[in-house]
Amino acid sequence: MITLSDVQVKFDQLTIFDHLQLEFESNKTHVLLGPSGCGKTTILRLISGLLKPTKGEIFLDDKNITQIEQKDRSSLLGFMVQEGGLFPHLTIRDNILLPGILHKKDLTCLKTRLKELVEMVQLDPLHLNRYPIELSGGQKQRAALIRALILDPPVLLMDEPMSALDPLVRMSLQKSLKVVFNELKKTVILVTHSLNEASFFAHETYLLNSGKIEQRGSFEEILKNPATEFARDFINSQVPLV
Amino acid sequence: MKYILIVFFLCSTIFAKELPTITVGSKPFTEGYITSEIIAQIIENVGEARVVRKFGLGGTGVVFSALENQEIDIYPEYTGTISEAILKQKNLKTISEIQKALEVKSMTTSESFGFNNTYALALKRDYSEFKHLVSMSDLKNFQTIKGGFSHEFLDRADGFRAMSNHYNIELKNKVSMQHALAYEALKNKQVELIEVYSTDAKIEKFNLRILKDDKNFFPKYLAVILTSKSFVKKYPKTWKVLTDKLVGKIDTREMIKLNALVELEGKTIKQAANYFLNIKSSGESFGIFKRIRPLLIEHLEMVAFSLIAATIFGIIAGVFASKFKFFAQFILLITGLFQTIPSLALLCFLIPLVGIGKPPAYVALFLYGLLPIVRNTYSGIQSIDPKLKEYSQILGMSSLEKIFHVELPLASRHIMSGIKTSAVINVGTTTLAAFIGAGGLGDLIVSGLTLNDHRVILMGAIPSALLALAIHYFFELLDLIVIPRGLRIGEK
Ligand SMILES: Nc1ncnc2c1ncn2[C@@H]1O[C@H](COP(=O)(O)OP(=O)(O)O)[C@@H](O)[C@H]1O
Ligand SMILES: [Mg+2]
Repeated sequence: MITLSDVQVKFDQLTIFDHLQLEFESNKTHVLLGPSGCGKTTILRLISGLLKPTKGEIFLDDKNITQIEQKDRSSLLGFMVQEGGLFPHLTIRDNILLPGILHKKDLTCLKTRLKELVEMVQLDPLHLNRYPIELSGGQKQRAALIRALILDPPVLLMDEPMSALDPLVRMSLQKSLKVVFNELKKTVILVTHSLNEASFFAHETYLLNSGKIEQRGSFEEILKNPATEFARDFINSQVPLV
Repeated sequence: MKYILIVFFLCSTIFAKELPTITVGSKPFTEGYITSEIIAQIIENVGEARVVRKFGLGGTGVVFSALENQEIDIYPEYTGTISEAILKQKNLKTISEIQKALEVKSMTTSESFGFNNTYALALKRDYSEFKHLVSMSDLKNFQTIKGGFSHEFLDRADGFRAMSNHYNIELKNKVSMQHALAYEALKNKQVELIEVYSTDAKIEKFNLRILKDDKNFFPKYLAVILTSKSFVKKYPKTWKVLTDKLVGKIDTREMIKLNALVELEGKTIKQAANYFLNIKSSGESFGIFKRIRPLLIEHLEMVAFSLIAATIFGIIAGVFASKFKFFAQFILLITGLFQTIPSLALLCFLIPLVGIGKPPAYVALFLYGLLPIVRNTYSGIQSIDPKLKEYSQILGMSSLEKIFHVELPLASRHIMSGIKTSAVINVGTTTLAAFIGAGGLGDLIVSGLTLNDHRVILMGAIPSALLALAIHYFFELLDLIVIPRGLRIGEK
């Protein structure tokens, strides 16, 4: 369980969140939905430690992770961003192994895990020896997913991991992701602005609007009973697509 | 890189012999080279010590401070220069007076070689006849004459200003130039009056007339050996042979002849010295490569070591600048400042701090090499994709891990091109280091300039240009090793 307790985020004068209270249940897939600029990425940055809340605390289960060492935190959280964020000077294999090496993990264990993940995520093993620039967008995202999972963290944070992909590639990656989520039973927080993706993944959906949780519940619930005018508008804008 | 280091190591072991060494200095003009070479050969023949030649040291100040700092042991100097420029006591007339005055510095001289190489003013013979300008007093009527004088003559106390006062003249149209270039300038009518040395071989060659010093302004410049008292004590036999063979043995005509051998007849300094010492010269047209090679190695050594130091320090400073923003401007400003100092000036500033020869050359080359490396390391790190920086932060990398896993590899292309720039600049700057006795290919350029011999200049200039090219390509190859493949294939 991840808990954001009475969190405030301020950039200079600008308050993005105030008194934010959020719980993400363990071993479920949570989808943060909302228009650009509503604060989705900021929530992931708070949990991942890139951003310190100006007030409030963040817990992982019973552990307060607001002030812990970033290195300790990084073994608890896997992170995956829009365009992969793979290091261009390293091969795919070295990119994937890097978190393990930084945490001084045993190399043979790492390699065994790498092999399992490559199979599960359906990355062509030949791609391991290539450089990021030699891979397509979808292949890079698969590699980034493996990297996020290499330390076997209980939590997976994903910031629009598929929004830069074309539809066919996206669909195939979505399937792989679902397999991974089901097999590994991670606590997943997935950011997207696509209802389609939310309906595909979400156990629990959170609709955000400028720093506020507009509505929270199962995807069907939100779809059928939009609680606010904003929720209705947001859904209607994408309904033809669903 | 490894290969170069091995070569240097071998060189340094060769130098490690048991005999003590005597370092002979010389000033950067033909007569200085010849008399120094004669001294060097005499010492070698005595066999008490091994000789190291540090020839072509730029100007009295440089040579004498080298002698004081025991970077050289002995060199030929003129009595006039000793009293006026070194001791700054005009009243010293005789050699024994000079020797007495030198005692406070624990120095001494030999008696005179015999010839008097004083300053004189010279102009073209036909010009002199046409204008009826024959003595220095006549200059009163020609105060707009175009003069070309050496920096030393213009600056020293007994030089241009004293002369102007003594004759009560004021020459307004004067430019300063390298002594060796003055004759050409006179020939090409860029100047009309130059200062010469009375033993100069070119006086005849260029058909010049020397203005009569009718009010006895110029002091006597008798050549003597200048050395420390401890040298005389340490090598009594060498000292005796030196004085036996030199004192009273070279008159003005003989000196002009020796100068002419080198400057007009294309003989080497060695051959002129051999001629004087009656050694049958073995037609020493020894191979160009034999002459260039040791200098090339010396040159490479200076470039390589200063570059290695600048690289290590430059990368550290660049990384530092990228971590502390307020520091960045400061570091870039300081390193940039050194670049704006002309290299010759920087070399000269360094002499009082670290002496002559290699040390100031290394310091100057190091400072010049710094800026491109610091700046490129800094900008290379600055230009890293913020997403990648963020990801290293998510992974919780320590500063060192960030530097070695992320920043340096990603900035490697920038850094390498900075190092390459420094290397190429340093090859050029190193040629100037010869002016302060550091050796290298610049030696050939300096002596070529002095002897007015274009072949010798090219012997230094062409290899140094080729070296710059070679270094450029060497670094292109090095890029393939240093820059990660993932970054290189991205650029095609
Ligand atoms: N470093 C920052 N400084 C100032 N404002 C910021 C900063 N980061 C994000 N914001 C603001 O916070 C709000 C939420 O941003 P973000 O979480 O990135 O939105 P989303 O991911 O939902 O599109 C936006 O209005 C954005 O302008
Ligand atoms: Mg976002």
